[in-house]
Amino acid sequence: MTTNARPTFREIEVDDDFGRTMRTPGGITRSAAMARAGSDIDRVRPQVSRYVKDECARLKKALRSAQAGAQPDAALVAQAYLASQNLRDVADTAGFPLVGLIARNLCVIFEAVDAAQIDYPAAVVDCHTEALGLALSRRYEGKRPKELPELLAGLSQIVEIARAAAAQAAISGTAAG
Amino acid sequence: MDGRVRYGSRIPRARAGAGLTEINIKTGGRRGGVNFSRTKQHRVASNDFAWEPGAASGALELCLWLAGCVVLAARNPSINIAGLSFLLADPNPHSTAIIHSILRGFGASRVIEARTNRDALQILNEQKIDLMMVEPNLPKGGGLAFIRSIRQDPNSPCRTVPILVITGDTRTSMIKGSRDCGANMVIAKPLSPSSLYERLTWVAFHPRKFIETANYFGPDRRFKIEGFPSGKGRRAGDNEVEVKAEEGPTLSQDDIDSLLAQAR
Repeated sequence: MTTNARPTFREIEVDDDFGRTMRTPGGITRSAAMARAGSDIDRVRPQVSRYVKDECARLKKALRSAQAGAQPDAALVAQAYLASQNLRDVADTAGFPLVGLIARNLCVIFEAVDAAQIDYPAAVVDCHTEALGLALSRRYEGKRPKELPELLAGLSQIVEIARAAAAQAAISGTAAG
Repeated sequence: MDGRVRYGSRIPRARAGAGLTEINIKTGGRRGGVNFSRTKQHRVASNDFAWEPGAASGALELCLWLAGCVVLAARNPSINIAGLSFLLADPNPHSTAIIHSILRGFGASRVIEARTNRDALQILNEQKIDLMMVEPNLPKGGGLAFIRSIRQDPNSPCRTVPILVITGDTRTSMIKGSRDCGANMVIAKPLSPSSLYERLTWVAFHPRKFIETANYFGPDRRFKIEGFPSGKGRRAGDNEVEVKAEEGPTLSQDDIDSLLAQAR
């Protein structure tokens, strides 16, 4: 005889202070909240902009040093990945959308390398390092990706190639496993 | 009142004892930055607005306009976060500076920052926190482990406190990991004021039951998205969530059955 024993679970109704207070009348409307948050972000923007520039310098240095030897230095690659993550998280809000996009691309590349155990794509990373320098130049600072489709199309293509290689490697790994 | 906006395909009737009023509102035009054109039946709490049945049509229009405002207000609610305590657990001080300023803009007066797992736990032991925002890259154990430890501890005073994961890593593995450790929601970095506002509204106005099993404690993961808090998504291709009246010929039952048969 088989028994259809169902896993035990318990449902709990939760009405916490956060929800109760948030729903209290007399708060701030969406439009007012957006306006006030925007002006508060403007106040911290100069400080975050300085940080973005410093972090870009650190990232470029780490990327160049990582490729100095015959084999990429794992610690420096990890450092570059961390700097890319930091830039990805704040660059857009600080007014550097191009830097944000390049940092996102670099994160995708590093994650693909890590996930699929493919060789470090030095040429792809080099392209992004050059693009980072360009994004910080006075000519391109503050420009949005939409305004520079020809510049970013190439970067997107090589990232897609890295992504596809990672996906392919993952499929091969699964099939082999 | 905007001359292009038409109201009133049915006189509102109070449903005795229910405290609710059913009204059909036919709307078209632009109000509060929102384009709308639809006829929809709404149930509105009768103490939210007042009207006099049988009064002049102008008064009726005014009443229906008020009802429409109530409905729109319900979709775009105001939020009240003054007095609430927020914990931002993120190793990057510049990232927290941005989130801190957004929360301050929303009216938060008490935002505490933690740079490590241990700092965050210490703050939780010493102070009352109403909402946590946790970055998965939190040093000394990671943010997801931190969330899991709070949810799994039956003695934790913060066991059911809403927790949002804030991360730039939007890979499926990260989203699933965040969900399975007991987080309420994931917000992708870089954070914008609108995305944070929507998530806070969502958590507060659409609370989910908590589920306790042998290996999980947290909000119900069977999360059915029933619409965006503002009624419409941010992307141009997002459809409205309400099911509208049919606009053309529909499939017959036989057609539906044959489609389902193929699927089976």
